[in-house]
Amino acid sequence: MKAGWLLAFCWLSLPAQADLLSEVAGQIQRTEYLSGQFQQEKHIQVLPLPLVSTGVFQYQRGEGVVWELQTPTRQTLTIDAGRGGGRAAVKGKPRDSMTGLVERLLFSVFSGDLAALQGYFSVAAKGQTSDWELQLTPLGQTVSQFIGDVRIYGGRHLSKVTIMEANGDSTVIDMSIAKASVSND
Amino acid sequence: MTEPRSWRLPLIYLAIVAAALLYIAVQANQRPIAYNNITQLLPEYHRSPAMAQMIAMSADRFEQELLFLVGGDTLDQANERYMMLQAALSANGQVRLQDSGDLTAAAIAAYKPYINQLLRQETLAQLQSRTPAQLSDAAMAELFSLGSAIRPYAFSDDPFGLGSSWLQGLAKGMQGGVQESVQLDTYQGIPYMLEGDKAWMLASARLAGEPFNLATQALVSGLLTELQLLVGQENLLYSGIVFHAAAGADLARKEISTVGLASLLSVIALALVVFRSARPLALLLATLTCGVILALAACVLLFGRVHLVTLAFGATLLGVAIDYGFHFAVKARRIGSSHQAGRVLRAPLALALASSVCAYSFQLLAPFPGLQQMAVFSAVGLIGAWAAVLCLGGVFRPEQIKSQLRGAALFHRFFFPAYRRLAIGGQAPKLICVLLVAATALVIALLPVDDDVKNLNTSGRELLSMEERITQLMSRPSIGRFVVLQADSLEQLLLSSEAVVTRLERQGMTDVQFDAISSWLPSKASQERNYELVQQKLFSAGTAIDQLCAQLKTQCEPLRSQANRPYSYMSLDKLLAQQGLALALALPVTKNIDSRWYSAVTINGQVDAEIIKQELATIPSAVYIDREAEISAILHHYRKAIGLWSVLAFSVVFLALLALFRANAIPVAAPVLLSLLLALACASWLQGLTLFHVFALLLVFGICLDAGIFYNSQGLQEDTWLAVTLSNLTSMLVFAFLCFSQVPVLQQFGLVVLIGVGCSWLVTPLFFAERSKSA
Repeated sequence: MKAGWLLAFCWLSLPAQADLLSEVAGQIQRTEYLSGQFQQEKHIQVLPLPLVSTGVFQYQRGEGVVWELQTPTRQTLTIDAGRGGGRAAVKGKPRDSMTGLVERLLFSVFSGDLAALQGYFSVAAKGQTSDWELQLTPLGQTVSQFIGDVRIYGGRHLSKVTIMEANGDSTVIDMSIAKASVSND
Repeated sequence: MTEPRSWRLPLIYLAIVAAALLYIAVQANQRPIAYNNITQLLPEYHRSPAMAQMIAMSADRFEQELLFLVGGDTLDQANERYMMLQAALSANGQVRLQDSGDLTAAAIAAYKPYINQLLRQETLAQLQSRTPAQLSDAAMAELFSLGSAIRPYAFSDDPFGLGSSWLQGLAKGMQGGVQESVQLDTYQGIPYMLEGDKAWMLASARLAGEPFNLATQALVSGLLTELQLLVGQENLLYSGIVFHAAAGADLARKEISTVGLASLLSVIALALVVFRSARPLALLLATLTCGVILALAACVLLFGRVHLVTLAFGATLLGVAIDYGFHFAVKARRIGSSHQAGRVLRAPLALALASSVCAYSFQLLAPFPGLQQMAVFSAVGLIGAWAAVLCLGGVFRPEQIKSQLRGAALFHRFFFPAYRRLAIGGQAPKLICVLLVAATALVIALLPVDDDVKNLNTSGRELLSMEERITQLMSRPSIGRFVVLQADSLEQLLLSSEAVVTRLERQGMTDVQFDAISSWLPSKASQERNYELVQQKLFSAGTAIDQLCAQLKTQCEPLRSQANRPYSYMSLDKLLAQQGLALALALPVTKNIDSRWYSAVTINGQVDAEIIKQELATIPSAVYIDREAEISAILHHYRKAIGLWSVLAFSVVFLALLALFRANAIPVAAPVLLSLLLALACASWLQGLTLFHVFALLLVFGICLDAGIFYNSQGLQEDTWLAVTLSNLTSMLVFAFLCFSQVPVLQQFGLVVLIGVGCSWLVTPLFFAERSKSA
């Protein structure tokens, strides 16, 4: 009996999930510009304390993402929006290397490119448009060997990304938005 | 008066044919007796058996690999079609999809114990040039970078990212041979690429069976048809040796059917039109059938199996063997007695047979497996046909046909008067001499040659252009060009490999990658040197690890003890021990043969062969292999050699004719020579002279010489002319069909024989018109 109710609930909730996902993607896609600060915590199992870094970021629709690490070390990552549908290119790195995958994911998250995310993950949405959570589960062994799970949180805009690595380490990125502009279409 | 039939000889003959048929059936039941790998018809390039084995193994590795591209206007559409392909392949069993994730996982696990001794050139240079402080800072910066979220090894196992760098260098070898510069993304976990507005999803697969096995080809052909129906022909591209082999087999079967059917229909039509009776037709069909059965049995007995090109060529034999049947039927009809016809024709038939068999027998002396097969097939087929005519002719009794022979009127009304007119006053011989000289001059002057390996293509234009399209979309390793290294020990081989790769990569050829065994397994000397350097710069007291731990504010000993593994030499056996199959298939072919080590360095991209040879000139253990160039060289060499053999064969036969016919040998031989020269000149002019044009000259020789022999012994008479015309016409019809073949080899045969036989039919009577009385 209980199993039947659970199945019915799951079945009924699927269309709602799909609707929420496309609404969230649409909401993100309407963002023309976004800038703010981020704090990244990297939890490495063998280290007693997390590695904390801070910086600023900037997203411009159609142009790309600039991710500038300021403390404890200075690094700038520029992710250019590619031609033909927003495929990201990372300067200085081969596009199809695993080390470029996270950058491409980040760009897809900022631009709301659901198709790009679905290229590597199955994507499920929870919550509502004012407070949502996307759960990304890797497809194929190529990605799942490295990434266990990715969660993206947000409301009006993106607010947090957590990446669980397959080896037990994890990365949490908290973003606070300083400036945003959204188009009406 | 009706002659009594003797059944003994026909029964003995038919028993022999029945035994041959039974033998073929038994052999075919036990194993496949047909095959279609055309390179097996060619002689091997001169090299050591070990090197030949190594090259064969390298070819075998690639022969099992398949690539499918499934297209759609959108990624979703392409993905949907990909799923259909995946389902079809799962049900198939002959073709297995490969997941690159298996290889990645295997590589990560296999290399883990050794990452402190495996360094790429770039990493090595960094360790050599940077201070421990700089190395620590670099590791620290990497930890904070966004990209560090994905590492093949945990920080505790690989704090300085040595393992990541090592595996990164292997990436090109793990892309299924696709170049790193090819832009690959994934959708739903499946790699894809864009061609204009179309998205193509890639599926690498592996063939379970042998690509040149006809049963495997049939299964794969069936799978291909199914896939094309599922996703649409325009949405499927595919690449792999098995497809070419299957297409070649298909084409050969079609050609055999077409040529065989064309021969049969032309024989039936001509026989019925001329004789207006089924008896001669029955004799002709029996002659052909028996000849083919005996030819096939002889090939299977001597070679174990028959190549499809031999069968296609053999189908043309029908046009030659039919000579004997036509001559016998016409003569018997004219004389009114099979027995007497047999007696009259015994000598010329035997001479015609002997000259043809002699010419084909010369092919046996050439080290061409294919040529030897064709020689046996043709010679035995002709002998069988000749024996059929003499043994079975009396059974069919063609002399009992009462109706008038058609065609005789044509001879009397048109051809004979024309020949006589031209022959009177010696104009014809002068005309012939002029033509001979002109033909020779033409041949010598216009002798473009074509030794391109493309002449061996049997898979058709459509498949070739698909292959070119795939090559353009994604540059793949060349299976025809690679470097083979050899050494007395594995360590020497690996050192040689490192030297070769360094030398080749310093050329700076963009878009070219070299995959060598040392890219997967460094030499012992390199591993020891790398480990020493890593200890010196990274893990010793006061070096990078201490500085990194200080920056991370953590205890160093736990990290050092986990990350700093003791040295252990990574041998080939250790590398493959646990992750055997996945890695074994990705590693460049490396083998110990007769106590010597060999390994192949594959080349991915377009290279200038001269640059490669120049760089390798000072490394005697490295041999550059270019299979295409080798095959072209073989074709070139044997085109000249077979040409000389042919001249020798013709000369021997001509001397034999001189001994038999004395001055009359000249009118027998001259039209043959003219026909051969004209055919050669036309082939050279129209297609560029190839080895297979030269082969076809032997066929022309056999057919044309028969005509001269019969005219010489019987004179230019109505029945001789009719028989020669019938046999020449059937040959010309059959070879005219071959001219339209998609198989270059058969096309070249068709052209030479069509022109040669056509010329011979027209010109040979001229040499006998003057001395023949009016029929």
